[in-house]
Amino acid sequence: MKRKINVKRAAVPAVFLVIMLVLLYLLQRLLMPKYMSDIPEGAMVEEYYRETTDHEVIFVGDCEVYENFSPIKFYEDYGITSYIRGSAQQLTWQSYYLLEDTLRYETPKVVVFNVLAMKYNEPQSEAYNRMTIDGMKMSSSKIGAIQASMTEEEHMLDYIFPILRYHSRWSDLSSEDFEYMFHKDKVSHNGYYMRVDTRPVDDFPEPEKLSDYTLGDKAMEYLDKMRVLCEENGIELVLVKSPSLYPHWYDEWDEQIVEYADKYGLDYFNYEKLTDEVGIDYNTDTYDAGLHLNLSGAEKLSEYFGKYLTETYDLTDYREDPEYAAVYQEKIEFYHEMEEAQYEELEEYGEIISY
Amino acid sequence: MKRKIVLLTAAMTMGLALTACGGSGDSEGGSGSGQESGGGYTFTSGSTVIEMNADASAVVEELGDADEYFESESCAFEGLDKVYTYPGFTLNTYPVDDKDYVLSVVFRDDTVSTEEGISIGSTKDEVTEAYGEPASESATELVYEKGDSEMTIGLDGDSVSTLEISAVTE
Repeated sequence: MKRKINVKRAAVPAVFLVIMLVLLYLLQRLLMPKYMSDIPEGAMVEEYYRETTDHEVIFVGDCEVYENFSPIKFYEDYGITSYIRGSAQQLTWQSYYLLEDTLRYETPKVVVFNVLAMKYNEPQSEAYNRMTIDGMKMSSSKIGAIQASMTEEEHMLDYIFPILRYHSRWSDLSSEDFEYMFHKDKVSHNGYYMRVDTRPVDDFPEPEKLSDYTLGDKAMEYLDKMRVLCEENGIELVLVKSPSLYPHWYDEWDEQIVEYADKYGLDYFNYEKLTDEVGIDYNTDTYDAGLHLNLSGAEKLSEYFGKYLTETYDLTDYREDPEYAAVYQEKIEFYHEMEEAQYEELEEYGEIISY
Repeated sequence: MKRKIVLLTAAMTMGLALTACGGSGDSEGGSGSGQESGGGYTFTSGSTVIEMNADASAVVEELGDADEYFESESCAFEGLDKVYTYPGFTLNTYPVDDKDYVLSVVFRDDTVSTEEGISIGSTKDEVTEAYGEPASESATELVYEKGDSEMTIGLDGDSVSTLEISAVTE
């Protein structure tokens, strides 16, 4: 009888603790930003974990990958399966840890890294860090990404228990926070952020003179770690600089990447210098006056780059695989539905407002 | 008694999670803070004193028409990054919500100088005489920190080749 009472006594606080933990978990789910109608780029890192099939090509990098390459176009034209693990202002060490994280799930044949982020050698901003790291599943890679990315004002615990950071969103909660507490809509096409509108190139400010054009040691260190990680896993690493007119990519930076690629026998393509060959027209192929490509530009670049991938690497044409074909049929439908919806919105409002 | 302590601890943990840490609240937005300006390096053009993180619209209005103006969508955020080019310097701004704030002032030639008289072409000795020892230093750069701002002075040998005063944003 006494033992029964003791068990009961011990069970009450345990149950209470479990309830508290569940409540805290629910609160955390509620309070974390959902990135659905606003800043959908923030939802892209997490979206990767919903994939049901593997990919032979993985892209890592900043907006210059997730706005400029279309995995659906790769599949439609060449049968290439690919995914873009991109995020806004993704720093080189974040690309490394996202790649490491990806290798926990699959081993691609080719990894493509966009080099624009090499210009940064220090953590930049919490808001951008959050958009890359919060969506990562808990792992040693996520811990590594946090350690490498934190600004001076940030704390590891705030990333591990996001409720510590987001508790003050109480007053900003909207119906969206409840609606997407446990399930989010798809915002990307295998990591590609679609925009069909067009804003032709205008003028750009003269590039600022820099005191030092040397790419930072931390950025170089993580590029090298990425190369070694690929080597260890039998993956080909390809470096690219997406076509863009702003922000300025200095020749001095480019030379350092060329030198690095030569040293290790990597392919490096600076598409800023190949716009004519690719067929990019900055009057029709960009939605923000030359910073990023629109759908038309991304498809041109993907057609061009897909040809190189197919001819250079032993990639499989998955259009002939029934399992993949079924999965990609759905993806293709979603892609063209969004394309159509954006054109309709453009016609109705003169601009894209829902994407 | 023990049970009460456990319950109290749990309740306190939950309370702490919801109230502690003093998060800044800009939980999902803002490439910068739009924080209050003050206490940092300033730059004066004519009668306009430019403070980092200050409301940019007031500054731009005071400065008058820029020689050139460029705007680009802030990467992944609502709003525009703006670049105003004036004689001798460039003013960069960043958006938070519906307002723009001063991000940096970049010297373009030797016709402008800092409050302490340093301009492109000044010597390294003149810089250290005016500002003392930098917070960090390399062969090509001196970085000074003050309040919510940073001044980065590029060196070409012994002389100043670039100068930028920038906001430190959260």
